[in-house]
Amino acid sequence: MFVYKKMLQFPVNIKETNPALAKMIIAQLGGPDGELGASQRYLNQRFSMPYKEVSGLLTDIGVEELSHCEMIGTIVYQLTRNLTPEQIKAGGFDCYYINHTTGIYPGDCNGSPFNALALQSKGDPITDLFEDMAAEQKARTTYDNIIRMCKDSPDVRNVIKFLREREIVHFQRFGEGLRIVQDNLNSKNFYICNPSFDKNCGKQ
Amino acid sequence: MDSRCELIAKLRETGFMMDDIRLYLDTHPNDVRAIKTYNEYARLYKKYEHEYTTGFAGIGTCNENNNDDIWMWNEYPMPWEGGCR
Repeated sequence: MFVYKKMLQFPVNIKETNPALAKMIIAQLGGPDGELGASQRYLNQRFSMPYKEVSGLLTDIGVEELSHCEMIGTIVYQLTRNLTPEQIKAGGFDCYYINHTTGIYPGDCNGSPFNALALQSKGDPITDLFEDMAAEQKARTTYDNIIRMCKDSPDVRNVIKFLREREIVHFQRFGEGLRIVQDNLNSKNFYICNPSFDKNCGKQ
Repeated sequence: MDSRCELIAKLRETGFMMDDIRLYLDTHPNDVRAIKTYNEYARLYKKYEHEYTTGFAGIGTCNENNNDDIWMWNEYPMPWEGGCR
């Protein structure tokens, strides 16, 4: 089950108002490579993962991604505090403002709503782990791009750098998870059966 | 006693060490040195949590103050308001 702690995993204290930057960063909440998708991918994949090291990993990383969702929402919330109509227009934030005021809505930076098509839970441990490793790299690249865009905003950049580092750590852990899955399978042919579905599918 | 923000920082830092080591232990469950380190941070976390709860409010949902007169969960700013470094 899920329990909430009233703090952030990493502090967010942004003094500036910058709706243009907020519009970019919301992509890491509701965009295809964002934290919401990551949390739902891992928390749903874990049910069919037969190896407890890896279902534990999917649970723990999925939960951490939820706390990253909270941090992205916090960044966007703080960057859009005290907005004037002139700042809204100048920052290209007008359409988001019309639809959501300065509420937090999970979409990408074009306003497309969060879409579960960005994630897959295939019910096959090898497939799912490759999906997860790719997801972490996509998130890392997205953060690389955001970092280039906020060189003048150290309050924001420090938080983004933390989130980016976590993606790299998650990638490493999922790689180890993949190795654990393979260690449990027939080393002559990993694909001969699906341990989530077929009976007697393990090391020969 | 530390200020509220100082205690939150300690909770956050020890909590993060636990988060990171937890992921490592998921894929390396037999690393006893890592388990020992995790437990040291967990003990520190509990200590700071107790200090925070008795001085301010519960950080989780246990309302450890166990004060029957005051519901402390809504006290202090929500985490997204910022204010503590």
